[in-house]
Amino acid sequence: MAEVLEVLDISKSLKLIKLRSLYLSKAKPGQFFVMQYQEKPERIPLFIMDSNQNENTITFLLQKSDDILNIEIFDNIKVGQRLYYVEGPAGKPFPLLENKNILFVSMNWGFAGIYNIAKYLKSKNNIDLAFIDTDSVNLEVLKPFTTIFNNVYEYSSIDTFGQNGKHYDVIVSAGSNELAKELVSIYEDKEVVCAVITRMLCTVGLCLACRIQYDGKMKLPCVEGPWLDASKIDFDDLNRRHLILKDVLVRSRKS
Amino acid sequence: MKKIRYYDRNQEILMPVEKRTKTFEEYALGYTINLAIDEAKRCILCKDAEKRCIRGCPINVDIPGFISKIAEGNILEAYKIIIQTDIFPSICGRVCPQERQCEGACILYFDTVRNKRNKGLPVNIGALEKFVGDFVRISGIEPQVDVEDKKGYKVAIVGSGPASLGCAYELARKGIDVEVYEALPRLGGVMFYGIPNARLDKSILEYEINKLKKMGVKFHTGVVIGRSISLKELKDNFDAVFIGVGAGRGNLGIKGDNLINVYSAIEFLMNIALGCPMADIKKVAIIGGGFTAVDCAISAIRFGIETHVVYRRTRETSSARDEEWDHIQEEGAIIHWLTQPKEIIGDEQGFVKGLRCVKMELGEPDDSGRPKPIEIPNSDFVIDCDAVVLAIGQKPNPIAFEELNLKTTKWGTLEVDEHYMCSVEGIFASGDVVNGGDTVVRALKEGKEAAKHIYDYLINKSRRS
Ligand SMILES: Cc1cc2nc3c(=O)[nH]c(=O)nc-3n(C[C@H](O)[C@H](O)[C@H](O)COP(=O)(O)OP(=O)(O)OC[C@H]3O[C@@H](n4cnc5c(N)ncnc54)[C@H](O)[C@@H]3O)c2cc1C
Ligand SMILES: Cc1cc2nc3c(=O)[nH]c(=O)nc-3n(C[C@H](O)[C@H](O)[C@H](O)COP(=O)(O)OP(=O)(O)OC[C@H]3O[C@@H](n4cnc5c(N)ncnc54)[C@H](O)[C@@H]3O)c2cc1C
Ligand code: SF4
Ligand code: SF4
Ligand code: FES
Repeated sequence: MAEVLEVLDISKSLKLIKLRSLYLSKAKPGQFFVMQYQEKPERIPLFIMDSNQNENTITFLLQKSDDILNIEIFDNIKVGQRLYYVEGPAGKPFPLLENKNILFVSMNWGFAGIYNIAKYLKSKNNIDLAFIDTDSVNLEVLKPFTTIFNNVYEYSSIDTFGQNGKHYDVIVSAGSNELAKELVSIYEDKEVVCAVITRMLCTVGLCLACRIQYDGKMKLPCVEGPWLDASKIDFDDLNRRHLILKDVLVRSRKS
Repeated sequence: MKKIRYYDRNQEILMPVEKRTKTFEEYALGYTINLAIDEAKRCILCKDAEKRCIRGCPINVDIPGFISKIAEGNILEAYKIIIQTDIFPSICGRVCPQERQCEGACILYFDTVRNKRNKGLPVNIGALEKFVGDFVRISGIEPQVDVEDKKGYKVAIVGSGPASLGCAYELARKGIDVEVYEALPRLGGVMFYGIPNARLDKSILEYEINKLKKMGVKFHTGVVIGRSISLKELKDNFDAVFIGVGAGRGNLGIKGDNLINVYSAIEFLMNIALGCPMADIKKVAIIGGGFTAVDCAISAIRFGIETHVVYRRTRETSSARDEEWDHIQEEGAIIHWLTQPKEIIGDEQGFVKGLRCVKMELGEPDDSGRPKPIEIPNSDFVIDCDAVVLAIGQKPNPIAFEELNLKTTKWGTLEVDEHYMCSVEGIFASGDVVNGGDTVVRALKEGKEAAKHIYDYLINKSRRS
């Protein structure tokens, strides 16, 4: 059982948390893990933001949402606690790129996934960050982590986001499907890679809960993603299945 | 001569229908000791039982051997006899499709030597076996398992389904250090996340797994082989590896399967087993006719959902336990035999609103000798429902073994030799991942058999080097 070692308040709705876990600490950039806070609640996929194999630790960002269970976890998670269960690392690592101009676009907790990849790609590529600053995520507090980027651009919302005039070969986004969809239309001729957000259950490719339509075929982001070519994702199907499904989920059933 | 009791088979006591449809507690309440002894006395202890019930049992339990002990009132001795072959009597007694296995070959019902139907009802072997397992568990007796001295080898086991547990038991008994790696938070494979509590109480699984822990088997959950640890790492760090990852992967493949509230059976059942939130469903159509379909129906009924089961063949060809069909029918399931689903229909928002089907009739026998269902023209109809669960064909999930390029068959199952060894030396596999999906007892048996070959491999390897 993974022990919580540190909890740092980044803002009123974002926490940076450090865990001890032998297996998770071996994660490669771009992978995520699954947390079950207690025995009964659902399994939550979360990005591994950083890992330390010598200490067997990882850090991750937890964002408060309007979901009751999430709020319960967010408000109660504290140092010394042992989480019921963590599993992973899950998903495919991000591929190694070289000699590219890369723009990372981050929103919400997406910074966690992005930071890990950016750190890994930094030495062989030119990396910039576009940070969409929402109420929940405050760039000020994440500053220490943004020093790895060559340039940092801030935007207040997806609507105000625009091209900064520079040439990029690859755009990488995380934290919002809406953002990824938007980037595909803004950077029409560029490669846009995004961490797709879907409802996940098994995270090992057994249950098909996470399935999306990708290039006309079924794809399982839990094992074949989460980093996928955003232009191939059928976002309308994704939003229908995953956003609406979210609304109809009920938790207080008999078990 | 003693009169043969052909007909007076004792049935297990069942929870009344009104009560059992409202709870996930087990509804088959088992035998009392008197009923068990009475049922045991029905067995005529055939001298040639190896050609009959014993052969019908995939793991070859000494059936007259244990039944005669029950008749004598010596339950502990009966238990010892069963576990020589079947280490999980409480589980197999509950989940085996006995009518096609041991009981289907009981002389009172079918004379396997003369190959003809006899006039009576089989001895209730399943219920007796369950009784023995439950009796020992509940009474708190802890039968000693003899564990040999340590041999200095260690084996990694991937997955914790019946194949893996059978393999772990056999190796641990022989003094091999065993570590089991399971991705999910709970152990047991399909026995945990697939078979609902109403048919197999999870505490039984826990009890059996604790026995393995006491024998020294180490379990790690939350570890995905192929992700948390690579198969190669396991191979490098252990003397041998056993892969028992099953064939649980869900399947879809019908028009409309990306509508909202279409689930694979695994998603549906795993959600319930793990206690994850679910959509509020009123009417479900479950497609399929095997164990999985029945288990989805049992679960759906207990959530108060109007439940339809749609199967293109007939009850006789179903692989599920026969009596379970009666049980779900009593509980209100609407079963559509000889019905082929064609398309899932959705509304404007993308929610499921019905399942379009066509009626079938039995035609000429196909290659397997079974009459082939053919469509009846113009027999289309729609089942009104707001969710569809697909409980059809499963296949192995390759995440554990894709990286070493182990040889697979065209069905995606692992290829093994007669020693259950894969195409890479030192890696063994059995259970559903090899046989493509069968029963708990077969997985258990094959896991145990693989263990014997793994043991020989370890001993021979050390002799060679
Ligand atoms: C690959 C990946 C990486 C992620 N990384 C992070 C991270 O680093 N930090 C972070 O805070 N969040 C992360 N998330 C999002 C996080 O998993 C969801 O926010 C969380 O599951 C619960 O959603 P919610 O509380 O925001 O509730 P809502 O979004 O309001 O959803 C309500 C309910 O829908 C269900 N649900 C919604 N999303 C999911 C999901 N992804 N899986 C299973 N069930 C779901 C749950 O039952 C949830 O309670 C990630 C998601 C993915 C897919
Ligand atoms: C819903 C359902 C109901 C059934 N009902 C019955 C019944 O009543 N009676 C009967 O006899 N048979 C039944 N069966 C069939 C029976 O359950 C299977 O044949 C049997 O469980 C196969 O055992 P196994 O050990 O090969 O694999 P499984 O039981 O499938 O176990 C495999 C385990 O490996 C784990 N795993 C997979 N990949 C990895 C990985 N990469 N790393 C770590 N762990 C991994 C899985 O999480 C799982 O726990 C049913 C099957 C289903 C799906
Ligand atoms: S293991 Fe299954 S098939 Fe064999 S005797 Fe027991 S119930 Fe029958
Ligand atoms: S075939 Fe039937 S009667 Fe004969 S030993 Fe087996 S269970 Fe008993
Ligand atoms: S979450 Fe189960 S297949 Fe992806």
